[in-house]
Amino acid sequence: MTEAQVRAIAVFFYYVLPHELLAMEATDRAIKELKSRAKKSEEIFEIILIKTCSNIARKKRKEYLSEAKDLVQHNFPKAYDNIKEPLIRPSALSVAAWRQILRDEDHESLYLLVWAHVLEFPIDYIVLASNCSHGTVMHRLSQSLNLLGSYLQPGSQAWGPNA
Amino acid sequence: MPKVHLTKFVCKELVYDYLTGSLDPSRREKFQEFLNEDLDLKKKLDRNKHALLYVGELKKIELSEAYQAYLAEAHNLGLVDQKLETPAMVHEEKAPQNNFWTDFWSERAEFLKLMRRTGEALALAAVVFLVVSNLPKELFDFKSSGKPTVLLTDKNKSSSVESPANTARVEHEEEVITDEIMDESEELVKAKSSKEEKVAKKSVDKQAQKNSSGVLSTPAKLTNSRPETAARKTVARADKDEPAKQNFYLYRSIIYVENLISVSDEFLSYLEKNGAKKAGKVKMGWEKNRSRYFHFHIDESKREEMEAVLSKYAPFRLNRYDHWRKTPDGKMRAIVEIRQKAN
Repeated sequence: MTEAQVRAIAVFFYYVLPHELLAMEATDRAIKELKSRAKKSEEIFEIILIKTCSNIARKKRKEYLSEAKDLVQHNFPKAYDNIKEPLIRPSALSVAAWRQILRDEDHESLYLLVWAHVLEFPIDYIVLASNCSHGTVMHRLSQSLNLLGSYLQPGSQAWGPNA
Repeated sequence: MPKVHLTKFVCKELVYDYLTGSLDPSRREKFQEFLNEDLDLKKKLDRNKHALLYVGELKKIELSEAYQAYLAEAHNLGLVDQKLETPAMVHEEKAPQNNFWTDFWSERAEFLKLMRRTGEALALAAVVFLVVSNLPKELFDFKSSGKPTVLLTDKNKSSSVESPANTARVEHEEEVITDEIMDESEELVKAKSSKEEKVAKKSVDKQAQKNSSGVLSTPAKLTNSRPETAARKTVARADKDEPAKQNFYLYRSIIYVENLISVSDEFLSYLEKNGAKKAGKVKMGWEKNRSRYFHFHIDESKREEMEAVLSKYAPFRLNRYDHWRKTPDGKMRAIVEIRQKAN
């Protein structure tokens, strides 16, 4: 596994899960699963990566919701305590709008947005990994981008890149 | 260039394609025409542009060194020493790593897979062999298809003395009766021994013919006299053991009644009063699938009386079948099955 792939996994979870610690836990799990799956499967690694990470994200979100968002009870590894800031954002970037949309809207299309526009994975890989047609993926991307735009619109959901 | 017909509605759906540059030139031109006219479309385009810019900012995020070090250590990734790659390079083919053991196992992956498959096939074959070797040999005796088999169907029916047509209610029993399996296996053994005896007899006859023609010399005659006596002995023994020349019978019948429990209880108490004793392996009145099964010995004089007891409920008559099993004088062996009449 390359550094860029590990970065992609960590960034994906950082953006789709509601908490940093959850994202770190999911990243650990995904790397472990990918290491074992890559040996067995003959599929393209990037496709396995998208599939595995999306599945884990769904499960983690479910866990998070079932635990009534109370992460105090959750036993995270002690090693996480030493990492104060796992991901470093540019100082001008606010993820408030993103977090808000994550709370409000359907996740599946947002996953696609992260894979396609944040991590810049080829659309063909995303299509193969999501078991949808090319048209469906493009439509979902369009919808989620439009939705994100509506959240960023000044006045209504007033968050922008510099908010 | 062919002209494309685009509506405003379709144009709204094409905003994403316009932004990502995946529209063909003719559609792009048409889209721009609508963009000048339609304010809503322009707003939507601006929103999407804004979102794309925001997403462009989101991708600038990086992993901290502490986290990178943690991941490398926790998963043995060796990331710190690796050259940093741009996201575009992720999808390119990576140069093979110079790890001896990784190379060693990857080169032999196919071989290992083959070995594993072979192992699985051998294990499966061993299991099948063990299962097959533990099955009874009679199941594989295909040559003796004409001979009686272990499974019993009522084959004595063909040689029945009385016609079963007399009893309208009584049907031919087609089921396999489990507790008669033992009887049948004995029959099988007997059939085998009689066959052996016949073979022995034949060999004796042949020898006698040869002896009378005088072809054999004296020592040969002496040696052949032994099998002759042995054969005679076996024939004599077979004659002794062969009671089948006498006629023995098995009486059997089935009756369908409306009230199975009361009728079968009454019949059971009648049998017990009249000194009937169970034959076969199961007790008298053994329950099986909405029927009760009676296999017993009783005085032959009770036959008509027994028929009268059951005839109260439905026409009933015991059918007599030839059977090799010896029954004492004045006694009879019978199998009666009382079944629940279907509503």
